[in-house]
Amino acid sequence: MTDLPEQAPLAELREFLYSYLEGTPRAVEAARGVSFEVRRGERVGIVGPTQSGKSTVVYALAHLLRLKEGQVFHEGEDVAAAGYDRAALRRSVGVVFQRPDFQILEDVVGKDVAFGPTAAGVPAKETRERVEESLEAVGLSYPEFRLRYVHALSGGQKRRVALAGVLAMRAPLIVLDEPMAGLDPRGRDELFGLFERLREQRNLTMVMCSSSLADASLLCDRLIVLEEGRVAMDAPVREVLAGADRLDALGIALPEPVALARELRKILPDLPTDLLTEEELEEALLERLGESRA
Amino acid sequence: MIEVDGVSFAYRGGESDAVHALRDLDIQIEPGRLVAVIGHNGSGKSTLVKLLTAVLYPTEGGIRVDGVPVRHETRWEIRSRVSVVFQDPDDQLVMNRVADDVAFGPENLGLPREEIAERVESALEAMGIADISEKIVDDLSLGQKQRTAIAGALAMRPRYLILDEPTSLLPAVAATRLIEAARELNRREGMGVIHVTHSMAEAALFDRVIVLDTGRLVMDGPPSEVFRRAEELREIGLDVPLAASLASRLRSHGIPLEGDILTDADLRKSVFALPRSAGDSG
Repeated sequence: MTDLPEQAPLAELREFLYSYLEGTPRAVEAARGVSFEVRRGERVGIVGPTQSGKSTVVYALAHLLRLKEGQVFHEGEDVAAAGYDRAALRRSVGVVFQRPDFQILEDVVGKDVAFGPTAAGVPAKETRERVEESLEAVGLSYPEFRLRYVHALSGGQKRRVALAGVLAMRAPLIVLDEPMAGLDPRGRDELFGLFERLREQRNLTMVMCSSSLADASLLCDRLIVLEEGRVAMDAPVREVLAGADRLDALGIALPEPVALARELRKILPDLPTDLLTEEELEEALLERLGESRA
Repeated sequence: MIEVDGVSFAYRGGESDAVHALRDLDIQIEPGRLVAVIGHNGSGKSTLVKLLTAVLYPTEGGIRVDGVPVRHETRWEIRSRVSVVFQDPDDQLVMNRVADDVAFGPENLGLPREEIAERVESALEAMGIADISEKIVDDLSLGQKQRTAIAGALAMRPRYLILDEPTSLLPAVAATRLIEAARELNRREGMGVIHVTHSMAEAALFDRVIVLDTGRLVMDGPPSEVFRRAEELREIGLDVPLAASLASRLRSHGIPLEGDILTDADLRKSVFALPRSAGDSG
């Protein structure tokens, strides 16, 4: 490659193909030629109906699959090439799994967050600093939570502990598998606020897959919509939402304001659907209903 | 009829004090009704489900299902009347093949072979999954697994079906399909459905909405009444369906929307019915 690493995208898939149980009668083609780039500081959401290949794509970026050459690149380098330093790669990509229990290894919060840095040989003093900073970053007070038992935490708190563990590794790319699944509205609001703060403070690069277009729209800058293992749409969030009819045809549930706007378009054909919030829909409606009144 | 009478329940922790999950709860649910239960995490929803299915027993008060008191000795009888579908279908799918999993419950009741076959077939049919009956459970999508779990519950021919947040892991399309299937069963067979959910839009589709907060019943009524109390709901961390909330915002701007507005279609109809007013002619 002639590109300097700094100019290469942080992560990239090129015509990525993947089949589970390849060579057996139960083989399933999950990705059928997926290409996209992730640039530094971007927040990219991978959405699509069930079995569209979302998790496979995210697992590929997290290097959790056995990859073939020429398909997955990290900072411009082929991660499947012979001689590529995959151990270093593991430290530069943090993964937050859908079920925090999969990655919380210790029974006490502080110990768990320290696990990664300690295993990576970070000195004790710096590890302690990183644990404190990471816990505070995910909104868990260090003095209050460091000695708490993990099993006594709520689902949302456990997910934050898992995320703190990943932050403590200082990985430039964070990959999240369904970060909002199973949380109640309060837990979701907390996580939304947390991601917003992390983005402002740390300029993190994040890729997440979500079965909820609503969540992904609020959390991401850009969305990649998959259909049967292929990229159906790849655009900034609002551009994707403007294509509400297409999303619906793909079998993707629309965010509430978008779905409601689409219903109201039956009688207000010029109502836009690229709406993120109730307030935006209210404004668009007042413009139209207010005009014909007043 | 399900009668919850003065029920309290406390989890007893090891070193810590007892945690009160439910306090002095009174609820009557008539057979054949569509009831939604809402409340945020920690409101006691899941504890209530466990009490209704004889997984836990009240610390105080009593519960009766069709007159049968819920006790350890009556648990099998209770569970033959009340079936539950959990949030995560992997928690309750036990067999390899879809049809075998649906047959698992009736087989344990010791029913004759023909009756089991008949029940399995009609449960698969009701959930629209007859075409995947020979498939391996592990190969299914989450939505298909969820429907398999419900088919398994239906094969028990319960009087009451409890759905314990089954839609929270599903994309909304699949969730809507699942609720429609439950409503259809209610219409056809008179089976009562108790749907525990986080989704206000889903709750709006039921006849009655019960709201729990920190173990107490705080609201109970038809959705049109419950969702009128938007402020109180927000105070306890809940919300109202978007169409309802938007309608009240528009009204506060002087747009005279009429009628109860809970669903998207309700709002569309009310907007359509707005008088074509001064602005047009002026």
